[in-house]
Amino acid sequence: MTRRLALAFALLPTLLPPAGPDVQQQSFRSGTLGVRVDVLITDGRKPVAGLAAADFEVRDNGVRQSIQLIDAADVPLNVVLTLDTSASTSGTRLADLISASQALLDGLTSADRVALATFSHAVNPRIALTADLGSVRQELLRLTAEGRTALMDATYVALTTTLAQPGRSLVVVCTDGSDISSWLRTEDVIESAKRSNAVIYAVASANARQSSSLHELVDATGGSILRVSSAADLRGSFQSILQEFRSRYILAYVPTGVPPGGFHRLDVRVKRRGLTVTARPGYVGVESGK
Amino acid sequence: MNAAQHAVAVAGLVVAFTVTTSGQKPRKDIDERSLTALQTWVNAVKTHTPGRSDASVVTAAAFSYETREDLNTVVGLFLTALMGWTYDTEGNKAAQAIVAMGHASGKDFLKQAAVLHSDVAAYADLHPVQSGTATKAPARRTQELQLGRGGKPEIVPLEEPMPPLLRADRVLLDKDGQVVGEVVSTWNWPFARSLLDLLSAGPRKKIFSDGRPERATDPFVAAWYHATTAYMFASGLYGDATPHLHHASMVLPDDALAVFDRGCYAEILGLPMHQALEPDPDAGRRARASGGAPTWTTPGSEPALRIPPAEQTNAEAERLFRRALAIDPSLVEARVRLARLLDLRGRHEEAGAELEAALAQHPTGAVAFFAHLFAGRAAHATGRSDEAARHYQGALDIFPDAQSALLAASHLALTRSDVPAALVPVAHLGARSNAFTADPWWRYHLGAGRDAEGLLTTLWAVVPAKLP
Repeated sequence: MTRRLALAFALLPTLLPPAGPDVQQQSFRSGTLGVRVDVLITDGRKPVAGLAAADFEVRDNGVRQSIQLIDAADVPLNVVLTLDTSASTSGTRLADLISASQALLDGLTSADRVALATFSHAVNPRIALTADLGSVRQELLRLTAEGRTALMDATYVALTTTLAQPGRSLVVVCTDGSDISSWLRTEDVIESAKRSNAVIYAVASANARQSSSLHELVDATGGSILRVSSAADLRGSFQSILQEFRSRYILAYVPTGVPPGGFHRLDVRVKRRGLTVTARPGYVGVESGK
Repeated sequence: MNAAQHAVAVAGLVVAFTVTTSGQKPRKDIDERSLTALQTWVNAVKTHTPGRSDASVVTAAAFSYETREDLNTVVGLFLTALMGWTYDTEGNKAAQAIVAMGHASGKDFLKQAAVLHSDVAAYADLHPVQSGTATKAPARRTQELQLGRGGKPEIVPLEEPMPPLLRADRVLLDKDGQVVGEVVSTWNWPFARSLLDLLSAGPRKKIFSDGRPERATDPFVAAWYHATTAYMFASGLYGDATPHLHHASMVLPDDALAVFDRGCYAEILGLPMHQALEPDPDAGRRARASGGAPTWTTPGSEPALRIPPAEQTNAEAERLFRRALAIDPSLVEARVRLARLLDLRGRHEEAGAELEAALAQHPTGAVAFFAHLFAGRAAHATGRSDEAARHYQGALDIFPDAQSALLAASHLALTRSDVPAALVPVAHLGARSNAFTADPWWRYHLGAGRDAEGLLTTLWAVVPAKLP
């Protein structure tokens, strides 16, 4: 049952149970009729496996929801690699970044898709979501470093890449510096993240100024930031991101008892004590007809 | 982007003072080297073609520190004679020769010299200026940017001034938001400024005064400051721009464009490109490994970086833009930039009103683009989505490939829950040009630097003809 439901969410959203007249279509649901939440459960720093739907409790704007657990292994991934190729990444940093990206591609399955975007001051959506990993590998070898850094603009573009796409979306943003060139402000991108179902993992230089905006952004999606002290650590970081993302749970529900539209505060809990829950804090719902 | 072209406002910057040597009375030990240096310099000035990387530029760029020391010894007397002021040669033949040179030169010489030295600074990539400072003249921290009373950034003197010919100011280099090194700034800018100061100096003014310069009355001075400031902005020479604009504030306090340029600079300091700056601990190692910048560093010391917080620089920028508009209400870009600052600080309605007034003046090009882009953001912030969409489209009509306007339009559509409409502008990103000219927002920090080439060309055209 779980397996079939997962496929329904991913590929055939109209096969889900029919929604009532007031059920909203949340824009971050990737075109499905329901809400889907990526949840990471950890014991200390170690992901916890083997939990069932009954172990979770989800409240949408304070109203407890009837949830289903989707087998994450059956839902293909959309990975959006968003790489900083500004001038400061020139030399070994860029080489290590490319190597790390190749390592992440090694961890994908044939059902997964990947998109590649690079950014300096200009955001360059190089390859749209594709299962042709070879084309992405080739494109990685063509990267050069120049220009300034427009991190927020790039993250926004990465988020839009995942809109209206089936599957689970992981945005990996890697940067070695601070945003100095974006038009979009952090609050704009956070607001957009609440309308997407993507989870953002950021990989940032440990030397870069600690930016609260990047923290706010990844927190809004239930993701996290990995700080690397040298470019040589990138490879391991990229691999661990993929590993951690695959260990997350997917909870799904059709919202009941809450009005559509506006911001929905999510409260995800796990019944076993001592575990840490990481999930998006909420989403923006859309009223019927929009 | 060349790190060497990106000096930033830091501690250790100096402001210029008037030409200064040992006094008005000529030294009795004027030697042949000093005379030769003076003759070389005067000849270079008189034969320079403005805007050209000619032999004069090559000559002046090659002045060693020793040559400038020699020149510094006698240039005061030369300029005193040029100005027609009193002097006492005491029968000194060498001094009399210098005075004769000064008499033969006239005030137009000062303009030509200022242009030569700004050209030397501008052509430093072709003909590197000999600073000779690392061992010959330790850089001296004579002034630094600090927060003064009321939180306004002020340049505060720390030590006694140095003669502009011997100036060896230090500026930090930044690259992509990181401080990557430190270099010695060129002496040509402060020297050029001190020469132009003489155009307005009163008859009793001492050449070697280190006091406040007089207000400029010659329109050439305003044109020179605006064009050279534009060049500095265009080249990312913010470290040079700091003393440059401070000096401009004294000689051109009521010039709308000079005030506007100062407003732009304060605004630029508040942009993330400066606010995010921080020392890169690996800069020295990486620079050595790559064989590139930094060319000059301070061993064992962290670069001192003191840029005021954005709240303070933005407030200063707002004050200056308002002042520029009070002087010249038709200065539409000042109004547009003022509006951006207002919107940034949540004063969306005020921003919208200013932008409406700006657009009523029918700006063109980048200024019109900014007006539409900022008006769109202000309208979006106040829930006027249709108006915001019209403004974003207005911006895209002028610069169809502008990433800023494309993303603004996309974001607006997304907040209206129109995903298909949000995806259309993003799809255009993959097909558009990445050239810096594609999006004026990428060059917003340039201020008048967008028009640097045109301003310099105009300046060169009004430089007095070559002297005999």
